[in-house]
Amino acid sequence: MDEEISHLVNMAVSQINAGMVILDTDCNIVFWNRFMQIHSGILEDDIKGKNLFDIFPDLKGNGIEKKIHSVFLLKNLAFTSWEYRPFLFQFSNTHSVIGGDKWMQQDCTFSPMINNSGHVTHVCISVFDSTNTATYQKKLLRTSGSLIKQRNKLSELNNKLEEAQNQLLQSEKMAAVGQLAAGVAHEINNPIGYINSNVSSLEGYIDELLKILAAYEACEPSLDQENEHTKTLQQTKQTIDVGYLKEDLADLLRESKEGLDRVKKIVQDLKDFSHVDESEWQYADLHKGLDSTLNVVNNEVKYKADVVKNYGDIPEIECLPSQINQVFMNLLVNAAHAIEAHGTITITTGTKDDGVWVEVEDTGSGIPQEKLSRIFEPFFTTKPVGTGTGLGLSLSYSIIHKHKGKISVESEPGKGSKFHIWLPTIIGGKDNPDANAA
Amino acid sequence: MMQIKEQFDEDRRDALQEVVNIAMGQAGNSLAKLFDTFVELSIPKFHLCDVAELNKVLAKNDAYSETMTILRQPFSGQLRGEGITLFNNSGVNELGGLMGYEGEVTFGNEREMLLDVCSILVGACLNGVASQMEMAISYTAPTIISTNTTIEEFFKPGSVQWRYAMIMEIRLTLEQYDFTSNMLLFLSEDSFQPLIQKLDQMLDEL
Repeated sequence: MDEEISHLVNMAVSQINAGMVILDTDCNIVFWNRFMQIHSGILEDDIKGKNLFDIFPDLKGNGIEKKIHSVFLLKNLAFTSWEYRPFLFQFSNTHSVIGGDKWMQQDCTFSPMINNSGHVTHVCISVFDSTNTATYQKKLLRTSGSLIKQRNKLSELNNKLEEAQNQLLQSEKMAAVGQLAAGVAHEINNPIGYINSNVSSLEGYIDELLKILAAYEACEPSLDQENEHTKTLQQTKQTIDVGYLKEDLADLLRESKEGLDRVKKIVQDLKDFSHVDESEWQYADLHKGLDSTLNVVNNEVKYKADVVKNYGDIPEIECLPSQINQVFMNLLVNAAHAIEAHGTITITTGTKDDGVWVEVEDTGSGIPQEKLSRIFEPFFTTKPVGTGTGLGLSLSYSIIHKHKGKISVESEPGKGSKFHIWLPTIIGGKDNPDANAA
Repeated sequence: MMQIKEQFDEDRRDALQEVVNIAMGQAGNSLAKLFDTFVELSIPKFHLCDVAELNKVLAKNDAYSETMTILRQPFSGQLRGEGITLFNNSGVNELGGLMGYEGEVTFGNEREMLLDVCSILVGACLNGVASQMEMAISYTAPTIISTNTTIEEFFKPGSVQWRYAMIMEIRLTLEQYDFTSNMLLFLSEDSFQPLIQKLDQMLDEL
């Protein structure tokens, strides 16, 4: 009976669909089952008594000796997993037809064989074919990897969408501001018109009144100085200080007219800047745009910088003037903000290739190299929280892009920044699908 | 829970501590031979508690405050449970030479080394206990559960299956390599009865 069972056990060990290798304390192979013979092509008789590391030198120096040692010493189990060590023995993949990994992926267990007196005399290595699991696992990893990639792509798209929406909002806001400005300009224009004409009339009337006064003053010495009426006249003249009044009247009128001229100019600039009535592609003079924009942002700039204009001889270009002015405004305001105490903003223009260029250079704090590549990104701002929206330059970029132009920047921290815009003279705006989408 | 605490009375606790101390002595000896370096194994601390209490116990130890690599090795037989091994994410690079790797240690090698250390630690400690108590236990291959978690996150109530266990806390230090690893051996509730029986048997034989 014992013999029969022992025969069965031998048969089981031979037939089991797993590798079994038994080593003695010197790591010499004492048993090599059928699975090992089939997959390695080495017969048991050819390998028995030989050292494991002589036959498989690849197993040397990568932790296997230590594993075996630990099993002998600690009566412990040791393991390898295909995940971290794809195989112990380099056997061809059993799935040779459909494919998968080139080599059989293996999970191995090193177990102690303990004799009656409690000593580990041998170590048994069992080798399990995990190719199937490994193939599926790797496939799963690849799938989840590509899912993660797709998800990242999607969220990137979402971000872009959000950016686009914000730009749209910003440009709508700017358009609304423009419309508001134009409306205000129009409303101011009427009262300014009649104030202007009234002041002119007033000037005429005052001239006439002063003539009467002069006539009176001319005949004053010949009046009877003792007459009561004469005395009353002279007293009144003294009380109201006619001399000063005459002088100041002229000043007041002059100043009022100057003020009116300024208001008229601002109204005109607001109209030019907003171009509400000119939201179509048209030929425009960039110098005019620069000047009216400078007037609009005068408050931001005048305390910070002297503006130097090096205007070249440039032709009119086809553009959306209100949008180009928006770009100028962004660049000028940014330039002013970059200057801490007082500096210079230089505006230079010229022609190149089939277009014109505009350069806005400041003597401000400059932009560090690492930020330079990001300044045209939406929401990227170097200004303190709450000061800048981070949209100005990205909007400028998209406007210039829409005009088929280029915008670039050079900057040196501590010295200042130079923004360079190039715009083509002719775009063919009528065919431009974006032309009216501002 | 009170019942279980009462069952592990002072005599039984002393007997268990004695068994475990002997096992640790043997384990330390074998580990020193294996690694060929001075090995320090702390005297095991026992906790009989549920998952919420465990975090309180562990929170007292600074060693568990950082993020760690967490491995587990299940064992079964008359003693059932899991050995949780915790590695600080430093000092691992030192292990290559210790574990018999020559040349550059790859990512896979490093992972396998951690698994080996886990298996060696759990085995060395438990084998000694099991053999003294004449209990048969077997091991399942260890796995890496997490590489970047704090122990508190890991043992959040609800995120682990066990509710109540006997936990043996042991620290391994290899001074020469600046390497420390903490091990928590969890004995599940169904191991308590066989364990108490064996302890009583041993006490009777005294």
